Amino acid sequence: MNFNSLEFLVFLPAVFALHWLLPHRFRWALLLLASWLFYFRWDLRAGLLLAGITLVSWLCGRGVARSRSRWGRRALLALALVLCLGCLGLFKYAGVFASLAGLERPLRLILPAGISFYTFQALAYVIDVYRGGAEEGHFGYYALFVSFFPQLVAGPIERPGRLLPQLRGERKLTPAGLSAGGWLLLEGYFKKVVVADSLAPFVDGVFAAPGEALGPEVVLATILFGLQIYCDFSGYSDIARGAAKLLGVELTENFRRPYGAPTVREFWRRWHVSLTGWFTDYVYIPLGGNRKGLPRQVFNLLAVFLLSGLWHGAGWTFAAWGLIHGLYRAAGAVWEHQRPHAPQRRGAWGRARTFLLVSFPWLFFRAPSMGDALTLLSRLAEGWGGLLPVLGRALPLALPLVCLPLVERLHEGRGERDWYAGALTVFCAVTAVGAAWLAHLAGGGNNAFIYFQF
Amino acid sequence: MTAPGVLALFGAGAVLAALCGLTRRGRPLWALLAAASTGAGLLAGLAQGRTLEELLSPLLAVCAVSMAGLLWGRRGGDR
Repeated sequence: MNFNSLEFLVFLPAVFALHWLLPHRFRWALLLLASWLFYFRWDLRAGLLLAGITLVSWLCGRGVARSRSRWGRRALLALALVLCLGCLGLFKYAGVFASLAGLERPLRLILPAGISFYTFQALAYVIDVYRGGAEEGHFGYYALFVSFFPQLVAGPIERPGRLLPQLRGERKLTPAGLSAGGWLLLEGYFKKVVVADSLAPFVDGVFAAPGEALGPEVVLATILFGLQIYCDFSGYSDIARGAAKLLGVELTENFRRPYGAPTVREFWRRWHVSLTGWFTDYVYIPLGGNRKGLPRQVFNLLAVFLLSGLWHGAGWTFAAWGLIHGLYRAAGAVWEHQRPHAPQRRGAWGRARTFLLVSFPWLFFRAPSMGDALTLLSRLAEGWGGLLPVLGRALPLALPLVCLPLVERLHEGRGERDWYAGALTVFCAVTAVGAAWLAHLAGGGNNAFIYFQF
Repeated sequence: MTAPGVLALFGAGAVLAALCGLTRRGRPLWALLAAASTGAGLLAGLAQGRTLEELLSPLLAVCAVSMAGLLWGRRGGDR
């Protein structure tokens, strides 16, 4: 079930109503049933895989918590890692390994929606229990932690210490929670349906024909894709947070105005915060972080960002995207090491420079193949005489982009100032979302969330 | 209704949305008129054979004005 489907618009209010009508002790069961229904609607086999990973990780966590032997605990942790990452590897990378070995793929494997997210979330639980965190003895609550429908398919990747207590605890519906949840839902749908889906046709047109693209088109499409993926993914995250808030649950804020970051390091504190945190806590720090000297820190940064790129998919373009960011961070680490007291450019120039730096790798992320990415790069110097017509074609995209910084502030409490202005804004925004959604449907565009494919 | 008439309805919607945000008095009336004018512009545009894609830009203009008014408009007055 997609967030931007009519089905979900019926599903969410129904779950909301039933949830608050039920006594607290039955709510976990309703949410678990709803979450499995939400996921099983996609594919029954994918649902069985989700159930399997849930059971395996819970049993491993249980074993780790109760084992008295150090080697027993390590063995169970290793088992969880092998099984969860093995499933992830099989579905995401089997085709690549088979082609590298010159074999035909034995099976046609469809990538289950959300597998990259829920396997990482399940692993976070087992690793935290191994490190001394609390075990969740109730399988129902644990299953709900793994499959909670607002964040199941595309995050945020939650930690057990943050989400489990909320799912267990008695929640109350408050006017502030209802209002914040409603604004977040509106904000999310606006960013996805009005902004991201409006940018998609221009971007798709350029990346579909790399050999014919002009230099200004390549530059503009790359920048616009950076905005498209931001609105698409952060829009999804807002919908997830809004839906969770309506159920009394607070999810991690996954995006904190990343394109306003003054440095690349700060960008990664604001972009896909939950994944960055996961890699930091479970890969970067165990590798030594920045505690074992500069060369090791550079290696750790490159490794983490390469893995982060490959997490998105088995492709050279994703590896290139990750590696470029790794090089940025490594260069930043070297710079800080050489000049520890140098002031950082944090004004408009710093933000503009960071925006351009993080925009460049999006070309690789979006390109269908490495060959297409290199073709687009080779076209950068072409056709700058046609800059004005290109800008003219992109001009209709200005209005959705003007609305973006406005809509992002709506849930910050400022909407509480005046009821009538708020009601008018809701009317205009809902009408715009509805009109854009119908227009994109009529145009036959693909309006799936980008991060659903990961 | 002609195309300029449709744009005039959206334009009026934007002006009324701005009044809703800027003034202390009469907000319920400005909000109601803004919504009505915008809605009428949308319906008139559709009746004229315009596509939703074509009508999205003026609709977003009204949207932007209403959001700006909500975020930075005057407080107090009628509620």
